Amino acid sequence: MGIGDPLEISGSELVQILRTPSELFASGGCIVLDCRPFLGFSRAHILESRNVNWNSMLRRRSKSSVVSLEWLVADKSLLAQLRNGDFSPVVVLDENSRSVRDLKSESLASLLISALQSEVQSASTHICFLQGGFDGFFALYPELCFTAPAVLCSNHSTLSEPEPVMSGRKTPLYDQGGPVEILPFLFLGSAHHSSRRETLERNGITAVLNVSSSCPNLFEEELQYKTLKVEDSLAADIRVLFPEAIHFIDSIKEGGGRVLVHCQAGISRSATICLAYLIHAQRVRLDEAFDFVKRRRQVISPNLAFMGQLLQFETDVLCPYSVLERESSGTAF
Amino acid sequence: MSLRSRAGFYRQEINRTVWDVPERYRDLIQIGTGAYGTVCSAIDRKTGVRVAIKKLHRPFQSRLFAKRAYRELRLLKHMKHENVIGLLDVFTSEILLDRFHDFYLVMPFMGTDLGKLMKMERLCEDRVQFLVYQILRGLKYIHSAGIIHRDLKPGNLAVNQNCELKILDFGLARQADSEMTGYVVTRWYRAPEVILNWMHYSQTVDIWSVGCIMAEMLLGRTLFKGNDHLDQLREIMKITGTPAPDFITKLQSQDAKNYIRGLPKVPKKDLNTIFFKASSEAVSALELMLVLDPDKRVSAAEALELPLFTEFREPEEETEALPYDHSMDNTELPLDQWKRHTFTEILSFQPPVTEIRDSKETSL
Repeated sequence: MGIGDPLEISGSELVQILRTPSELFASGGCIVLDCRPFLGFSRAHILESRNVNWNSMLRRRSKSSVVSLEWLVADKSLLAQLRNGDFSPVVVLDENSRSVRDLKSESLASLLISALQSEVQSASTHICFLQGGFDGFFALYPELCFTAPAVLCSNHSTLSEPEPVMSGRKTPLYDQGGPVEILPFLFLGSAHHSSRRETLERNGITAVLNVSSSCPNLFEEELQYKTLKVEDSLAADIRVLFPEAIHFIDSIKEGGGRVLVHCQAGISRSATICLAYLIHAQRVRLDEAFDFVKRRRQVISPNLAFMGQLLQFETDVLCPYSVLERESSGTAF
Repeated sequence: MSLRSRAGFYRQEINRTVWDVPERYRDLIQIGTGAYGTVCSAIDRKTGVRVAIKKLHRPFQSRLFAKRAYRELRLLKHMKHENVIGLLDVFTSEILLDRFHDFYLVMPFMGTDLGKLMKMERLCEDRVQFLVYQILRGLKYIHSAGIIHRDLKPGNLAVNQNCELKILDFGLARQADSEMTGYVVTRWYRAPEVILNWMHYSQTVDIWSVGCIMAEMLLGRTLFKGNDHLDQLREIMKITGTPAPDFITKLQSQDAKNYIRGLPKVPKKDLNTIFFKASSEAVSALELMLVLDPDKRVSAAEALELPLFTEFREPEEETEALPYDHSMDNTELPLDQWKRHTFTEILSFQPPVTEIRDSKETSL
């Protein structure tokens, strides 16, 4: 072996090494190799140190082969530099061992030292071992260590439940707040909003346009209802319902009333009806109508087929002369 | 206590939830809770290893819940691969079926998940390679069983202290069409064909998710961060480009085809310009995963053979599973039948063989 036993250094000696400008080294500089488990390294480690690779795969492999430096240092360029002896000193540390003598033969630090001794080509490379390990160093020199944000270091992490929006214990985003005003007589919301009398009264709702197959109409003695049965599906033809929906909304408007348009979640079907109404009544393009409604109700998201149908509807509403042109052309023919 | 515990069990209340657990599990600490259950960490005194114990929340309150509980148990029992979460134990304190109402799932304790890990620190590429390799190894196993995860995301990838990874929370009941459209909040890792419900989809939906997760590990930010599913599609197409005619032809909905054809044409972006710090092997892997057409996406088994993983792969450990019997998934049974089936599955559980290597892990 070209390199002798590792030299034990104290934390203060490592500080001196770390604070020495790199141009004063005869070699390419110091490298600190950290043998602690990956997660501990991610939470806190000496600045510029590198974590050594170890896991169950490598442990199984080590039963039939001598542990190679290549396994422990996955970064190929770093591996090449180590083998060439570009670094000196090479400082090895673990959790908290006081001395090289305390290391077990199968510990990662021992395996790393053996690999370095057998594979580093330069006799001038010094292998050092940090007395007291990372724990000892961090206790004295925390300013020379990286520390991950504390809140994320909690062990209360794995096996978390699905995101809150899907939880039955919390109100989903689309049911929060209340129905939103699209126009003075036109509101958009969810089935939840349509089921609460006080919400309806507070917004002065006098009519409900139910765009679903399964939501009930709960206040038929008090409110004017229209139900348009349609599924939120790529196969559903919602466009065929536009004239009927527009007519209903217009009749409520002319009567001085206010209509809530809802489906189950107020995301796709009811949003599509409101968009169609805006295109028709305001003569705006789909993009403009979409942005207008989106600013008021963030969760809207018509399915792709509904968007395609709205696009077709936009063409029909905004380009009526193309129809006349075709008719004229037909006449000429 | 109102009732005497069964022999070998003890009772404990944690945050107003009663836990009846075998004597071997001690030092219970709650680490998570949600609509479907509560999770505690505990020490298994037989092995000295820390475990996670999940108590399902009223698993038999309805037929839907009972079927879901049964399905989760069967899937976990089926999974025996080191990159997929599996069962160490399952127990109930009741001996008789008619008193059976709660059961507990015991799984390995993992230190964190990939989402939290990415917030701690930027991962270097060799760590990214190793993590992605493990995801793909786990996926090869899951897919060979005929199971699709459908919801891979950083929070569903548990990581232990040695950077070892396990896939969690997979194979749950397929969501109804309406649930796929826009209701789900976390859609950044979902394949375009799933988000937009374009067509019947296959196992490569999970490969798209792996590509998004890998990209995020390399970039330090989410790759496709859409506000809704239409915005998600726009974000995706900024990088993949607008779909080719042969792909549009595969769409089943004429209205959807019309919408896609009406979008402004966007060219495909060169991934090397986005991932300029990454190796060419890493970029090549992403090119094969983040393909709009699911039929042209690489499979998990094919991805394992990419140059990116050559250095450390172990083909003998890239194992396949026995086929999983899906026949019960489409069955409609009364609640008490699901309960009976669940009880039977608990009684027939065979614990995994503990190896001596576990003690060596402690010494490292």
